[in-house]
Amino acid sequence: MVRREYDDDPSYGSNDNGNGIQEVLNRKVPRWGMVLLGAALLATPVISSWYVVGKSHQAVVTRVGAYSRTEGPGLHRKLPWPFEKVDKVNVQEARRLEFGFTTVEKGVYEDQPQESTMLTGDENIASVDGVLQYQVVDPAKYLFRAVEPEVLLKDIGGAALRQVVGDSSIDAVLTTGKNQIQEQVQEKIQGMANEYDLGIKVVSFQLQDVTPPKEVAPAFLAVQQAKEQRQTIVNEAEGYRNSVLGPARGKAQQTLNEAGAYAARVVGAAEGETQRFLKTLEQYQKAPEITADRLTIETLERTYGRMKVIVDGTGDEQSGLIKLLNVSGANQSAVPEGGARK
Amino acid sequence: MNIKQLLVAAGIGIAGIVGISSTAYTVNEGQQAVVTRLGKPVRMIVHSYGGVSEEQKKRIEEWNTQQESPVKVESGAGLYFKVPLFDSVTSMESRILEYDAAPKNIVTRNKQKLTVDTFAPWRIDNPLLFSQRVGTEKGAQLRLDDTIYSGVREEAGKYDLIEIVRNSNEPIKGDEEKGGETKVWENIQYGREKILATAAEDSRVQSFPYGIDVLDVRIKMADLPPENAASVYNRMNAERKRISDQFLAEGKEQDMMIRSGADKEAAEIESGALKQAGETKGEADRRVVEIYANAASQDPNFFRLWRTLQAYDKAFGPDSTVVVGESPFTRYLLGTSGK
Repeated sequence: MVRREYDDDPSYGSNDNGNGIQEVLNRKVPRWGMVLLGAALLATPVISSWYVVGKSHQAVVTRVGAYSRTEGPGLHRKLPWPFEKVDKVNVQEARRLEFGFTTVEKGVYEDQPQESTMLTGDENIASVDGVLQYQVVDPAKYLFRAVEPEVLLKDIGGAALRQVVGDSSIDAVLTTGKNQIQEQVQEKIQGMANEYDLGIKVVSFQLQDVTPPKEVAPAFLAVQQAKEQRQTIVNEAEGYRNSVLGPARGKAQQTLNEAGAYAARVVGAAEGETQRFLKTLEQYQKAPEITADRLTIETLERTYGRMKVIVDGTGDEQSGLIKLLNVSGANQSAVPEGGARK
Repeated sequence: MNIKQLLVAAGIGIAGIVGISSTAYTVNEGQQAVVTRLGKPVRMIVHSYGGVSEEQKKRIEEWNTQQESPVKVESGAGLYFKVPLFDSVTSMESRILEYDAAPKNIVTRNKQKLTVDTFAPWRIDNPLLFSQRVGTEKGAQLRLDDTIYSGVREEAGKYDLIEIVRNSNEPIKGDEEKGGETKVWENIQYGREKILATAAEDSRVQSFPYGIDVLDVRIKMADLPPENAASVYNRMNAERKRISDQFLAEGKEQDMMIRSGADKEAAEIESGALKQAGETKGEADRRVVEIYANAASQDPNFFRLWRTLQAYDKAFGPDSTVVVGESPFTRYLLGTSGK
């Protein structure tokens, strides 16, 4: 370059005023010009032998073309240009690659159906989007191992994703298998990156939108709805069950309680009666005849006292009043002559 | 110092730089170089960051010995010297390059069409051979188009579609919740990875004579062409329909089971209660009988009297009429001068 400039300088030698050239050549170089030139000549190697590496970067130093060393953040010295050169690489940045879609601007995405549509292991088709995040861990490898590591990584990622999805069922891809797929894809990408020695570390592979292709989306939705409908039907049936069993249990308890009440009542009554009987029996045993008569008379007194009584003094049932009256109506009872006989 | 002297000094400096730059050259990291003297190759600097593999060294050595006039082979980036004017240096990539083919259709053994998009990372393995036979990286793309595509097409044609999609016979677990089933393919003997490995190996061997090392052949995409995809979509729709129907049928089944079960259970609860109630009442009745029997057994005659009198008391209401014949009451009332 320098030589060409020198040769091709149109002003040099083309100046036809010979005296003028001589005059110019013999002119003294001013003192400040010398100082400036000297300073420039001295400063160049000094300035070009210092460099600063930012806190998220690492610097790769090459000496006459060959890799020499990698330096971390801070101020460093090197041999001046053209002997040593520095390339700085960001090793903190989480670099990002998109699969199946592209971010046009923040929040605006464009689907890439060609990239996202893939065959699953059960010969179905799914639309899968993903994001790969990676970091440069060895800047020298990142610079010197592949021409376009990013492009290579993108293709590796696509291949890995398809391979893993190709070994999964559509249901696993759409729902349950996501974590496993992510892990496997991440592992595969890292494996290939290591194989090619790209100097990168895969931070994560995240599946984004994973959907059935639009041609079959309504059918998938219908499955979801059918599943919910099944649940609704079951819930309603359970509701019916509760509405039937509750009253049934209540009614059963009622029946039991009524039975219990009956039992308590009749047993209680019986016991009360017998107590009364036993007490009376005590008296009876003391004076049987009198007590028996007294009881009989008291009963008759009580009963006759409240009803119509016709007394037949004859004592003849066959020809007496009973026959005449022909008593057999609803409100009338013929009493055989006194059960009270001992 | 006047301007003349300054110019002379500058001239010497520039001449020095030109002299050095025409005798010295650098092979930068990430590059390799071939040196020709008056058009005839004399030297080659092979390089790879991290060191040239033994394999590559051996390949080049073997090739070199077969040449009429072997070249000097050196390795490593850095500063080299040459004869000015006579020698010229051609640099080329030592890093991994990528061959990316346009998607192409292949036909599988079971006559299914598949659109395959392959890529292959490759390196310049022998810079001299590469510069002689291929020339540029663009030329390499054309070269690899032939070998890799034909390799993949040939290999893929030997297998069924599913072998190109899958890697193993491992059963694919369906989501039970979603009505999926676990499916097993018995016919996968190779799988994508092995098929591609074979294709890669073929391409690799075929590419060495061009100074190219194909590191891998990979499938970026393997999709059904649109006309075949339609039939897959139809199948998927049918399968989803089946699953939906199954869910609805299950719903009906559950509905009937739960409702009839509830009815049955309710009936059981009620009948059980009736049974128990009957037992309770029966037991109570038995107790009553027992209680009376116990009391009565103390004096059966008196009990009979007692019970009869009670019956009297209960049997005759205020509206009853009674005709009394001979009875203790009348006896007391009429016969004797009792009360």
